[in-house]
Formats: sequence, structure tokens, C-alpha cells
Amino acid sequence: MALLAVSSLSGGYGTLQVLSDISFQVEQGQQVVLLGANGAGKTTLLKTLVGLLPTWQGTVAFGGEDVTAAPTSRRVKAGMAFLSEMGVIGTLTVEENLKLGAYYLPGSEARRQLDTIYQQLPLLKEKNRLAAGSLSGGQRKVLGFAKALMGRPRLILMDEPSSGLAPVMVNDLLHLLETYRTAGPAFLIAEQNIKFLQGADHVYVLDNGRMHFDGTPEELDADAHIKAAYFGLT
Amino acid sequence: MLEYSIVAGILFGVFFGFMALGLNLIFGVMQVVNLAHGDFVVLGGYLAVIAYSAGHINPVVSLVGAFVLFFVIAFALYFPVIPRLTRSKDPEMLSLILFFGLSQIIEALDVIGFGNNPRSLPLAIMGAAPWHFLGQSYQMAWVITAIVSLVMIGATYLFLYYTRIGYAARAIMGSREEAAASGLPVAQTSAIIFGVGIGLAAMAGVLSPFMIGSVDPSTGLGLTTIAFAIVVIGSLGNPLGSVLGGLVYGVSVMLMQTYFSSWSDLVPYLLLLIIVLAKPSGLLGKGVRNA
Repeated sequence: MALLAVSSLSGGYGTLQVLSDISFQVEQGQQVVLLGANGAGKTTLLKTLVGLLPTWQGTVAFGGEDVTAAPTSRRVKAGMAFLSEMGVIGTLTVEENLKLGAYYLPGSEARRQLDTIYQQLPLLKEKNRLAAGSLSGGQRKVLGFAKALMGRPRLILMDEPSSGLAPVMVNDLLHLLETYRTAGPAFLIAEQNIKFLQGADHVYVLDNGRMHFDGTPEELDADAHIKAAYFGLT
Repeated sequence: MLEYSIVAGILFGVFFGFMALGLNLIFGVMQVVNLAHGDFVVLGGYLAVIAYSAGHINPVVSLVGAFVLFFVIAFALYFPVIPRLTRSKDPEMLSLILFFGLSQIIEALDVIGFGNNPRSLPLAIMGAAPWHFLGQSYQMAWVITAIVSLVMIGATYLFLYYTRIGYAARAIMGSREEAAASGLPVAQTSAIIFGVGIGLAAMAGVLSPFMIGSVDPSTGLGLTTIAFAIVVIGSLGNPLGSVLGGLVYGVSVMLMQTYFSSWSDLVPYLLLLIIVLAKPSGLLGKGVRNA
């Protein structure tokens, strides 16, 4: 059974429809990339999946449970984490941001998880009392990522992790992702940077609010038409 | 005279900072400008006056009742009103209009319920002996009011920094969107903060007859203006800023009353102008950590 199963989903902002008839799945522990240009509907789709926007039609099932109408808090409790483009709250300290990710864990478990994160990412421990807003862009991404991990999620939805990052930092971030992949959570990464395809199990291409491709990175690589049409690659 | 102005200014400043605290909390968490803030303060004042005249209940006791009663009223008011506002495109502007209307309604109900005459509490119920300090004497009621205000400001600080709800409230103040994205219970937290903000206003109201002499239905508007000035001076959305704003206001108004007494009513407006021109984000505006 798929961890996340979306079928015939449509949705949007207010009365503006952005997504039409979207169906796809994420399996346990998989890294799935949702590729699309600016305005393709990636952010709208992630926000709908986590319950920040309503699902107009279709269903969203997470861990076998229908969460189509569930509020964000219930989806987070069930093991979803959403890492937005901004990712952190600038006025809170680094440690307060991390604890935000573990809001629904029992206190003792949250503390253990915090210790683990500090061990793995000593940079965050060093800066734990600083306001998150005072961190550099790259450090903020690391903090956001760590915050998403804090709640021991089964699925992390990442909205354009590479945005605003220098290429060298994108590599660092990819490396970080690689380290955590084996540890458990599945990732659904909305990106326009094709670097994120390395190591991905599955790729979906989103354009104009519809799914246009569904396959492995190798299959995408072999599909000259898609590459030319969406990424200008030949 | 200078010592007197400064010490009395600090006593009044602490009280006015406390009086503005609820306005700032509510703005910080839900971007709602509560123009009826002063009217809730006045309602707290009526509660204290009536409790004392009808049942000889000391205002210090009424404080607790005022908080509980107005917390419940505001909590119930939250759900039909605020979510619609925060969902709208321009919550600040719409809240100005809505709460202006609410302010008018409360004022009219005050006239019907309590009449137009100013109501006050005898200062002596808080102790007849004055407090002597540096060769000057001050009303004991002012000192007790300032102490209660300080305790409540401290309690609010502890609530914000050491409780789960306070922590969620600070996250929402930082970024409502990000807090929601993290799955925090944004609506429930906002409702509680709305209740706390108005409960605190009513508590300040219980003490207000000692500090402003009396309350009548039209007092609310002036108090809202003062609270607004204090919040902007300190910095909008930063609850600790309102304490600083209160002190700046209290000391300025006392100095004005001592040296240019006919100008003292202008103090909140003058301070507002100065701060908006010189440092629009307030004295503790962005760039300073909230801790």
C-alpha cells in the first residue's frame, strides 16, 4: 500500500482553479521529485496535500487513511511534514524552530530527537539561541530541513528547497538529503532544478496544473519530447 | 518636582503599558486592530465600581472575576467574527471598521446600563496612608496598581515564553503561514489569545478608576488612543514593547502635566508623530530579538 495516494485531485486558491485531475503515489521511503516550472502548480499541490488549501475534488490518502478533509494538524500528527520555501520563523530562536517541528511529540521524545539533530548537525547546536532570522540562507535551509525531521515524519513535502541557494549550497543540501534518505522518511520534492533527480526513485512532471509525465529519472532522460518541451534540454 | 514627575510617570507608565498589552497581543497574533480595546477597559472599570458599591468587593478581588468573565465573552466572540476577518484580503482595515462599530455599540450599552455620569472608586480603599519616596508622597492606590500591573506583565511574559499555547502564539506572531504549515492549532490559539487580550484589558479597567479618576461611557475612545500610541511606540506585535511604550508615555505625560499642563492631552499624539517619523517600526522594532 502506498504511503501517499492521490487520486483525481483538483484544487486551487479561492475560486481560481490551479490543479486538475492529479493522480500519483509516493511509496514508503521513496524519494519522489515533482518537476515543474514556475507557476506549474507545485506549491499549490503541496499545500493542498498538507491541508493548507482545500481539496476541491478527488481524494488524498495517507498511510491508508483518507485525509482529504482533515486539517493540517491531523496530517502532521499522522506523520506528514511540510517544508515551505521560507521554512523557518525568523523571530523564533533556532531551538524554538526545531521544537516547532516536534509540536505533537511527547516532551521526552522531542528532547531525544533534539539531541539527535544536534549531534548530526552541530552547527544548529552552536547557534541554538540565535534568532532564525539572523542565519544565512543556507543555514536557514538546514534548519528548515532539521525542523521537518524533528517530528519523526513518514513523509516530508519539500517546496523548492533549492530556491535562493547558491549552486554549491544546493550540493550541500543534496548531500544532506542523501544522508537522511536511508534513515526512513519518504520525500516528495517539488523542484525546477533537475539536480534533484539524482537518487530519485520516481519523477512526476507538472505543467499547467496537470501531470504530464510519470516515470523513473532514466525514463525521463530518455524522453526527448518532455525534455525539450519543459526543460529546453536536448 | 522633577523626581515626582518621573516616579509618578513610572507608576502610571507601568499601568498604561499593562493597559495596552492586550491590544498588542491581539494585533500580534491575528493582525486585528481592536478599536474597542478602550471600551473593554471601561467595562472592567464599571465591573469594579459596581462590585465595590454593591458588594464591598475589593478591586483586587474583582481583577480575577474581570479576567475570567471577559475571557469567556471574548472567546465566544472570536469564532463568529475573527476567522472571517483573517481570511479576508485586508484584515487590518476591515478590523478597524468592525471594531469601531463594536466600540460604538459598547458605548451605547454603557449609557443605557450605567448612565452618563462618571463613576469612580475612593482611592482610600487601597490604603489611606501615602507612600513616601525621595521626599515626595504618592497615592498608595497608584503604587498597588503599578505592582499589580507589573505582576500581570510578568505573568503574560511567562505565559508567552513558558507555556505551550504561548509558544504557539509567538510562532503565529512570527509567521501565521509558517505556523499553519507546521500544523500548529492556529485557530484555537488565536481564540485563546483573543480571550487573554480582552481579559487583560478588563483587568486594567478594574484598576483604571485609580489612575484616570473615573470612567464614563466616552472614556473608552481616549484609552484606545493612548493604548494605540503606546503599542506603536514600543512596536506593534511585540508584547514586551508595550511595557517600554507605557513607560515612555507615562513619564512624558507626567513631565508635561508638571511643566506644560495644558498641553498634556497632546502627549499620545505627539509621541505617535515623533515615533512614526523617527522610527516607524517602534523602539523595539524589527531587528531586535523578541526575547
